[in-house]
Amino acid sequence: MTDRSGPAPTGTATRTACLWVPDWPVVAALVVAGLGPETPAAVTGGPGGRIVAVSAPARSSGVRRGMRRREAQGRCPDLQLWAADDARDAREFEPVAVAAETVVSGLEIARPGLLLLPSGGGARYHGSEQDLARELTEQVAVRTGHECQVGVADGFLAAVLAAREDAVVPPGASPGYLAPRPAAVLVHARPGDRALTELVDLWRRLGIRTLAELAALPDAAVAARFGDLGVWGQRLASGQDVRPPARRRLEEDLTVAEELDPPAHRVDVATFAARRLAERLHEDLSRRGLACGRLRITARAVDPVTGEARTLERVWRTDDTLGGLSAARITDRVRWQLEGWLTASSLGQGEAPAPIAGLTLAAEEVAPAGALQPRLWGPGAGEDLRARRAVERVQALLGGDAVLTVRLQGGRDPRDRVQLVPFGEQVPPERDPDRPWPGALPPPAPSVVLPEPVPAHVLDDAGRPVVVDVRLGVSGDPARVVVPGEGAWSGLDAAVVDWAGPWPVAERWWTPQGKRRVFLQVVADGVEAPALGLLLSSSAGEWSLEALYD
Amino acid sequence: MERMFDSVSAPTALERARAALQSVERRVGIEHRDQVVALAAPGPAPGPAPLTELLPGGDLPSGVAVTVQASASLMCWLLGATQRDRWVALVGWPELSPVALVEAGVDLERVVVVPDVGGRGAAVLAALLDGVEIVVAGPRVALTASERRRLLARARQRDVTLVSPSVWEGAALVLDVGQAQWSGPDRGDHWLRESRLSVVRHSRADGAGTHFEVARQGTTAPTALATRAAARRRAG
Repeated sequence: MTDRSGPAPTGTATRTACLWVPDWPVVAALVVAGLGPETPAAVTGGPGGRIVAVSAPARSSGVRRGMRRREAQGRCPDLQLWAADDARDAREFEPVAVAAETVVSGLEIARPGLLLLPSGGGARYHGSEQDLARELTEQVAVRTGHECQVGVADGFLAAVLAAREDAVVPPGASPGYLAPRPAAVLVHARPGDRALTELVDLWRRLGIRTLAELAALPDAAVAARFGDLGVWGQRLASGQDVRPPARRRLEEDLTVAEELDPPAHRVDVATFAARRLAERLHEDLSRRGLACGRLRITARAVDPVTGEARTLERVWRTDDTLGGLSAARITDRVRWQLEGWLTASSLGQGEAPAPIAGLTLAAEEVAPAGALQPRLWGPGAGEDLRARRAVERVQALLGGDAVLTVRLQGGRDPRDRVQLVPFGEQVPPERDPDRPWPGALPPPAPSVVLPEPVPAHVLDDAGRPVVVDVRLGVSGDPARVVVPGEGAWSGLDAAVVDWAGPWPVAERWWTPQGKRRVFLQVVADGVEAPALGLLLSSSAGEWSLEALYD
Repeated sequence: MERMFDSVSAPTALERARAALQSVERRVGIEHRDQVVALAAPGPAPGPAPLTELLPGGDLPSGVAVTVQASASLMCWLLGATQRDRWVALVGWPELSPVALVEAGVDLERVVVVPDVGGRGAAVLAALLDGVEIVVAGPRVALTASERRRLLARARQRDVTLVSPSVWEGAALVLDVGQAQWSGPDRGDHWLRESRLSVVRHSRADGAGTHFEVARQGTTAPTALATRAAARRRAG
């Protein structure tokens, strides 16, 4: 950054402040248990239930990480033990992050117990980096009661290590600060990573003991010998950041909820509540300058007879933003959804719609407003808004999966070449359409493709079934096509005027799902259509009607 | 009627007078006069024309119902020839092949497919008519006569084209495929390559119907050829 005075290391390193709460898993467990920090305590986890985190009083009694539970209890008989719980760690850390946010905005939670924040702006605002560190420690202590340490340095690893020493490394001094340290300190950047521990151990045996020695290795050699993890370690050791720090904090989802008492039977009653919720959500979003990528609508429906509660949920993508979601648009969507839910058919066959007793709106994938850029041309441009809203409306009526977009993909028959994707979802094509696909049916494609092939008979002049043998010999020229049965496409009995094929297609024969088929095109002289094109396929001697050219 | 003005390069005073008279007649509702035939162009130019020749204004009329009966291929070709930047909704027609649509020139980025309306066809179509420019109501959408009337009214109000492969009462344009002839396999030497459809067009301007021959070779653009005089009049 601009205030860096020393020679810059190769690559980039951002001036970073790191806030570290020592022994966070134990601290979190103590908070949940309602015990004070003076209690000797430890958290066990991993294979064998070894100790993974220890509180300071327990450490002074000789309990260490990696000990067996029994050994730890032997050293400290009144030791409190808890199993590791990532969810607890993350949940309890949130107040710390909020407290830190009162000092500096835009921070990143590296993991529960460790916060990264840009120190440049914060330090200027608070006077100096020391002042910033003091302010952070104080706010966290006042607001949450936890002791924390703050370090400031260039780059991620230096900042993490500085936080462990409660130090401020002057700008530009970080490479020198890191150089003499043992390579094992990399573990602090990624605790609990067994692969990293093993790699550090390997380096030690190879004679690479300090970060300086690691940094001095040629990049390519490291990449070739130690892989991605080696490159990561080497970059950190030379004081660089592995990635540009994600300063944009991923905002939490915003949620608004309301209980409806009495439960709403009618759409307009529920919509009235929905409008209030939508306005609250919209106000929340705009006050924080945020836009959301998805809107989750959750309703709690209570069966009027049994009192059984059921949760209905639907997620809407809101990526067609033009000026973001307005309160009216949120209300619209919720209303459509409620219409879908409060009319019987979407709740299952023959069931009466259940009145809605609670409604929750959540804005998800929240990002600063303005980060979403609508496309200027092509699909997705402003003129498509009307169509998208109409489609959303249908999705509200029938469910999100009922409206599809179509894409062509690779394949040989007209059914395989189509990929149907629910509208608004991004799904990669299953098969690349640009491959050659030898044996694919030549264009033009049939206009009507039956959803399921219908069994058919192909007969020759003498009325015998036409059989295609292994060497593609045809037992006789096709003369008649008969589609038996009572389905929509059956009842056809037509003389064959002309035919093409047979074309063999063996697909995925190297797997158990392999298909071997023979295709036959036929021009049939039907009663109402004099020269209708038919596409037939034969598999294991059975013919079926696949598609029609009409 | 429009053709008259196109074809006459330098209208004489008499023709101008007739045109004025005719516009007055049109305003007051008189439609059938022999003079119109005398003034009309001598039929379309011989030789195949682009498929849009099949459509009265060279484009799918909007705000009306159009039926394209008995040929899914013709439906695909028409959608391809007239979609341009418009959105197309295919409702209740899962059999219509997207591959054929693409070969006809339809941009699938602006196609939405609702294969199954689950008995709520009218509501789905009404919602789509609000925002999609071309709505195709396929054979699996069950509609009552009154629902059809209401949907047509809605399409008229929103200026949307409602397309159906089956009879739709009050349709402004009916393209009825009498005969579809596919050919090309040559007893196993080639494959289905050519198609010829004989189409009868019914619209207000066509009287008893105009006959066209639509042909397509391979995946080239289909062509339309009027096989009888374009502006036939009803007798009397």
